[in-house]
Amino acid sequence: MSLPNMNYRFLFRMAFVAVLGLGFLYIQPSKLAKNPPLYIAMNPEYQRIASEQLVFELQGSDSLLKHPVYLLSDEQKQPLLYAADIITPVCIDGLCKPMYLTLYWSLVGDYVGYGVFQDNLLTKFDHEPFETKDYSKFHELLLNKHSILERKNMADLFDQNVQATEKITFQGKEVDAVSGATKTEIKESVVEGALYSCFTAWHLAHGEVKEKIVQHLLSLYSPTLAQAFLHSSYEDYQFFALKQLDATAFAQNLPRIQDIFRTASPMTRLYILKKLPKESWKTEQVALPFFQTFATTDINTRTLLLNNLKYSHEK
Amino acid sequence: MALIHDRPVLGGNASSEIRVHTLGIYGKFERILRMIDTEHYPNGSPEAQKDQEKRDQNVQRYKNIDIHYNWRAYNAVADSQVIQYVDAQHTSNGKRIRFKAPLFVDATGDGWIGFWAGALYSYGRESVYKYGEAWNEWGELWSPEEPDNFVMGSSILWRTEIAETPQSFPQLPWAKEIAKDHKATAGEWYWEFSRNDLHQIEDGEEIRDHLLKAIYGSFSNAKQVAGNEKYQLQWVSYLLGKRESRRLVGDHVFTFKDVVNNAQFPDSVVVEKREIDVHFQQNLQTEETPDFLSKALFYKTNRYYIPYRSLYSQNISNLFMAGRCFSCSHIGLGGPRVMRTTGQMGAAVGFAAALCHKYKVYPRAIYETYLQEYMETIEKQQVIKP
Repeated sequence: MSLPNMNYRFLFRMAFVAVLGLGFLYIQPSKLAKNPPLYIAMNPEYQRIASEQLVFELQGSDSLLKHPVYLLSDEQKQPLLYAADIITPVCIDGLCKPMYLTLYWSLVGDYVGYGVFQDNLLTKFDHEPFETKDYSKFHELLLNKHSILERKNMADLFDQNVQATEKITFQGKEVDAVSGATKTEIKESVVEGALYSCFTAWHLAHGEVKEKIVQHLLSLYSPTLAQAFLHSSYEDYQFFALKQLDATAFAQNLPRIQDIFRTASPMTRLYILKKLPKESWKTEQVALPFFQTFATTDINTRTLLLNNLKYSHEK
Repeated sequence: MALIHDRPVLGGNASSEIRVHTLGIYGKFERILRMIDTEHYPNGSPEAQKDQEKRDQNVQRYKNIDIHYNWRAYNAVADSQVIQYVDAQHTSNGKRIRFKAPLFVDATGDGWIGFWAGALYSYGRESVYKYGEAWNEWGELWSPEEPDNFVMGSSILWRTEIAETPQSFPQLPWAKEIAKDHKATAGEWYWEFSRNDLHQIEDGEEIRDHLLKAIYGSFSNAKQVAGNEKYQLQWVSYLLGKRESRRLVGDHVFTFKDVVNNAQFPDSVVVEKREIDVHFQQNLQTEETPDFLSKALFYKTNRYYIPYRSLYSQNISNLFMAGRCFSCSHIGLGGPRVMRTTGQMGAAVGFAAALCHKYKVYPRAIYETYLQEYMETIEKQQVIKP
């Protein structure tokens, strides 16, 4: 079932190209303006968009198309979000149909929302339109960075269908099918009847795009942006800012870093404790705010706090 | 050849005692590995028993393998960086045996033989800069700027079944401190525990007890919920399935870069295509999550190769390693730590040991002097004999 031979692959490719051609004809140039998001996790940023600028192109896997990615900025030209209009084939068993959507990412390259083309709404594989709940499920799926779809190839999904009919028994008892857990997890995470659209969209919203956005952001990372990130309420922005600080800058921004330490996740706390220059533990006003969290902080952080006690002595 | 094994059955994590299914490909050793691997049953399945019987019967067939079941090695002594002997004790009758041999293979997982003998080893996550193992997608969760002690955790598998009639299960106040309010009616690989103040070897018993409390407590919590009356525990392992601890250092340290570059070596003896699969504890990202649940990060790859030089110690002349204590970085371990791949290592080491015996040399000489003969021998293994 997983595209076994050359002839099959050839037909598949031909169908693929033919549908792409239709897709191009079908889309009117005027429709390429940004579609407002249906769902967006960063609405305050979206509301402030004043301009867009083409910054790079995204090459989807297994796709002949490149998707232009735009940087969206506010009136002061400060970057807010990235977005791309996507036209991509969704194929199953050699049959393809185009999928249209606009994807939105945060400045650190994480998916935050999507919009649809009003005259090309999302459909399931049997051409049934998405229902309201399907649109929100789609967003939920795309928000999950750890989706089980990450490690799957299209071919795996074909095999899933084959195995779905198999039951395995042992000593007379029915046990889970071989990849039962995986199948259930896939089924629960995707929009019913739209597995391939979900798969295609997830792989466009994650992966290659993250690296490219971060690379681009670094090219325009200014002191203003650095401060905005450090003082942002988004933990991933804070973390990004912390990562860019060198030891001197780390010491200079200490009050803010201590704030972040109190509110962030253990991963960020551990990063701060590891990065804080050993010398600075000798200063009481540096060390004390960290040690004061001891009673309420998580055990991994406590371990690092204890390890750092030795640097707080003058010796 | 003496096979010293501290359990009553062979297979380690694949055994009927721990019940992890084997993953990975056979590489050039299908003939050998088919004798000891498992079907792809769900983790924790009683089907492990079938494969256990297959494995024990197949290994016992070999007259030149002298299996010492239930003997636990507790010391290895080296003189001039050559191991002279390994001491072992029977786990129930307490008798002791001193094993003297020209060559030793450390397949203990925890790298014990190398550790006792003074072999170089590593533990924990290297700095991302040490071997250039950055993956921006996951940053610190993948590989940290500063090295640390976070390793992948150990798991205890467990299994429930639905009975025909309601089954009682007690409330477990002693498990509450770990399970808290978590409810579960099924286990899987992600029931996994690692913490930066716990050592996967030295604190193994605490880790095991922590997981047992997590399992019994979460199941007990679930049993209080309407609809779960018929659930009953079918099986809970009493042994830890470990993923990562000491890694002995060889002439080559296998890293993320070898995978990304699909590096080929003149002494490539192990091949794998499985994604790099590195775990972290969920509570690092989300503090409220129970501390006994992990997540996996997957890096998809093409085929990658492990050279023979990662399978013998850099500083102990007569020591091979096979299994998760082979020479690799934390990230390097992520892909090949599964059991068909580590099985390939065992087979590759076996053929090298035979050549060492033939020429009366130590492992490094196989790479330096007898590589052609060694690689030809392995190449011939590709043919499956009926």
